[in-house]
Amino acid sequence: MTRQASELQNVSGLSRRAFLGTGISAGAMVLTVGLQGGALKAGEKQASQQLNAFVAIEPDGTVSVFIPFVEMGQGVHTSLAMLIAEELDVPMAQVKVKEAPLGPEYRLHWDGAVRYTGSSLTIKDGFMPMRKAGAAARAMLLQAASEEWGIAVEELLTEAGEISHLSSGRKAAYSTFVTRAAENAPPLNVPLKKSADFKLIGTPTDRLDMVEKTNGTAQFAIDASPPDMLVAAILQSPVFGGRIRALDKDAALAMPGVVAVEAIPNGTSSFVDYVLAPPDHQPNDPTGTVAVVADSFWHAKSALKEVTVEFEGGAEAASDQAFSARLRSRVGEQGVAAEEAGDVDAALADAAIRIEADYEVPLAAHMAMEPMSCTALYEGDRCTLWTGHQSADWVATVASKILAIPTENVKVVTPYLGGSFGRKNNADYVVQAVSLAKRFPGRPIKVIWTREEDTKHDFYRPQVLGRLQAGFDANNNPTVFRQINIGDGPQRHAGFAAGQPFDHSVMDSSANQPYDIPNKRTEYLLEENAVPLGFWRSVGGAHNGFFIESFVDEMAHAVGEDPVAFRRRLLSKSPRFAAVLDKVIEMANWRGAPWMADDGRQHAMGVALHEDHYTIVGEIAEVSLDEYGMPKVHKVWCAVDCGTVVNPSSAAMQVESGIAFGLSAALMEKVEVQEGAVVNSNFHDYPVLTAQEMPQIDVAFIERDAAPTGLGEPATPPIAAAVCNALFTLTGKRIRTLPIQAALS
Amino acid sequence: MIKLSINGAIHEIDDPNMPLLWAIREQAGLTGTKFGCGAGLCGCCTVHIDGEAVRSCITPAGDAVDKSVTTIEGLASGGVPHPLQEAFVAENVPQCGYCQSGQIMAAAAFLQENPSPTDEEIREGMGNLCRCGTYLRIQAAIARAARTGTEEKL
Ligand code: FES
Ligand code: FES
Repeated sequence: MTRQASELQNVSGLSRRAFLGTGISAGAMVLTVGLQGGALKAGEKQASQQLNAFVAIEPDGTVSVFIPFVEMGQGVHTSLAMLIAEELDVPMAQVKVKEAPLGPEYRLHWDGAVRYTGSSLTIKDGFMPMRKAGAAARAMLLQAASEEWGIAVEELLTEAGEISHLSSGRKAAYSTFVTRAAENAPPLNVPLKKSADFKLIGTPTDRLDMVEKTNGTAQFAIDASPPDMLVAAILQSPVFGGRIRALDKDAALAMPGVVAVEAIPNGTSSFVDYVLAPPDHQPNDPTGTVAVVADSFWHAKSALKEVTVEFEGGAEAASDQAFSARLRSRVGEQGVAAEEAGDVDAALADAAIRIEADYEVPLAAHMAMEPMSCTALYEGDRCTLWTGHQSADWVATVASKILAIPTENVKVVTPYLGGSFGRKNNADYVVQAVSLAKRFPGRPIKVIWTREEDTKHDFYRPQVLGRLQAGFDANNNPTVFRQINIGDGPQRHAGFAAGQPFDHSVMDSSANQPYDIPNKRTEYLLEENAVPLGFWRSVGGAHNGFFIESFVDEMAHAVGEDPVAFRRRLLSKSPRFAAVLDKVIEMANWRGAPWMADDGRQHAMGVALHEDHYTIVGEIAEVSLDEYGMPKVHKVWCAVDCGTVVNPSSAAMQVESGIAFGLSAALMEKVEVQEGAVVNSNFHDYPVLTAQEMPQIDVAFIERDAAPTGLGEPATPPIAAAVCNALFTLTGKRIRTLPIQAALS
Repeated sequence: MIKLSINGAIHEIDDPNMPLLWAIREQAGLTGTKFGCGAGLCGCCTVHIDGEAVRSCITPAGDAVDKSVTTIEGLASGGVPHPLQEAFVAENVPQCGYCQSGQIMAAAAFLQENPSPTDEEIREGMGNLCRCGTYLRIQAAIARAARTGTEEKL
């Protein structure tokens, strides 16, 4: 999703107002009224004072920071607060994170067009705006102190939430000046700290959400419980896109606590039919979901069993096996070039050595630990949503479309997300909750999905086939590389790829990989998939990292070279990649051949190096086979170049998490589709990585004084290739189809 | 109608066949215990009945009659966090946090059984899923809490 800015702007007509392009513009400042409900007017004593859209200071000195990004485990609430605290010179203990309300000033992506949490963009795109907001607030406080004390700003110092004047010994807390500060015009182009002066940025900092996430008080969407709430359990047409043909409600209506049994839309087309739809668009969203509305989830779920329902239509022919066969039938074709250099066809024809291999990844589910949940209240011409999502603007748009009310009348309350990994970009569960709320005005309705619904109605990592080809000259130098990806992707499904020559979500991170090979082409060939596809942690990287880095290993072996040495000699024009590779080699003490380890088994290492979401990651996995011939991953070393690391503590957590997520999919995850419906249903038939399967992980960041890039996703792509490359060294068997456990059994 | 003791308070529960999870969440209003799978597979819903860890989504509420149920909200005693809660904070364990109530409750029962486990025993002893992959830090936190516990006894 990294390149769809223009598309989003065009389709959604969102404001292009570049709020923070040149510092904080006066128009975006909220000077007299706090943004949160119940805020007090400027000048009133004991008021919380909003210094700009992101910073308010409470009478007790607490600094409230308004964060427009969701917290789904990345630790960004803390990192973003650190950025403000750094420039504002306040200790983290004084900072409190609040959810930013809706508004154009909070659209920080793509030139102020989009508010959204994903694509590993939060720190990348939040870095400067948050710092500028902190610096601007500090400047306003200094100005106010200067006026109050009659001392020039240049003579004042700030530290730990206080302003002081050395020669007179005067000292006072920020809160002393805040009323006056809020009356001043916000400054433009306030200078920011030099990186050498950072006190917080780059220092491991405890996350602000740790205590509440260990004592049961952290609130998630599923915990919302506004007064007088009803709860709904749902059953969707098992076949994708199916609709209800016949519904017998009577038995369910007779069950305890049941209020209603309703037929509602599936919401699968939430982007196309709601978020991106023009105002007069009529949703083409089948009514394929039964909702039992009751006084509690337990009652609703129990009564759902008593509903008799028949579904019809939908993608009844969809099957992952048949789709695989379709992909394989097209490998000889030519696609649309996403990246091209030199003359690939001539170079392939001229090559002294040629190799070719076909790789495939299956559908995979997100399986966020919190099942989908949304609570909606429709009252008068207003709506309140309590839900996990990846864009408050998008879910507000969904509600406004369904209820025919302006988005300004929608309030979004975003508790913590119990994971997402891209799943909650799609607002199907929001469509369902709002559709129900519309029928029960004045009563909040909470929709909770069962795990079975979650498994069967995800937006899956796309099933993609890659054919890769390479050629070498007579001196074993690679002269040509060609990759064609065949399949379908979430960007096209969500309607973001319209008018583009190819779907970036299929091709991203196949381009721009570092190896110096003169003739290169990566191609996209669409084979439409009726299974709903979604943005799955690392998106295109999820298959491209596996395809490319496995195949580069094949290239090394084809010319009898060590995979590390082979990569290293192709990186002369990519010093950042070379530095990451050198680092991870050093960390792991690289061994190119298997060895007998202390546990009495043969172990081997595999390497992979990949850029994803602007971040370069090198991983080395140490692997053995257990008594059943199944892989055991003992250890993963990981070197990362993501520019400036804001919070090294949570950055390492993101890397560990990204590796675990990618390893889980690589080893064991596969969604099966038969006759249009998902076969898997819960963790017993869709297992995910357990504590026993978790490898030890060592993470190191390359120190580089550069703007930060993403971290939520880039550690995921290399792991499948690193493990498969190790298995090749161990067994001589090349795994080209995931998951590994299925390939080995 | 049955009566259950949850964290020392008595709660009336409509239906003994209702899973303990939903009795805790919807009737007692304690939402720290989480719903992850509803089938005993993930451990998000782990609570203690008389000190033993159970997966409350597959435990009928009636099973806890005349026993004492402890949830994450009741793990601290007298306002002092349980050593595991402190250790989970110190090791920066939670990411999304959704599985962590269950992890901590499972770990507390595990340490009760085995107060000074080896790293291998910790790895093998914890069967709760974490989709964010916080397993290594969970293990480090359990080891830390075990050390604290041992030191306190000495
Ligand atoms: S919710 Fe009980 S084990 Fe998953
Ligand atoms: S912390 Fe997210 S599932 Fe464990």
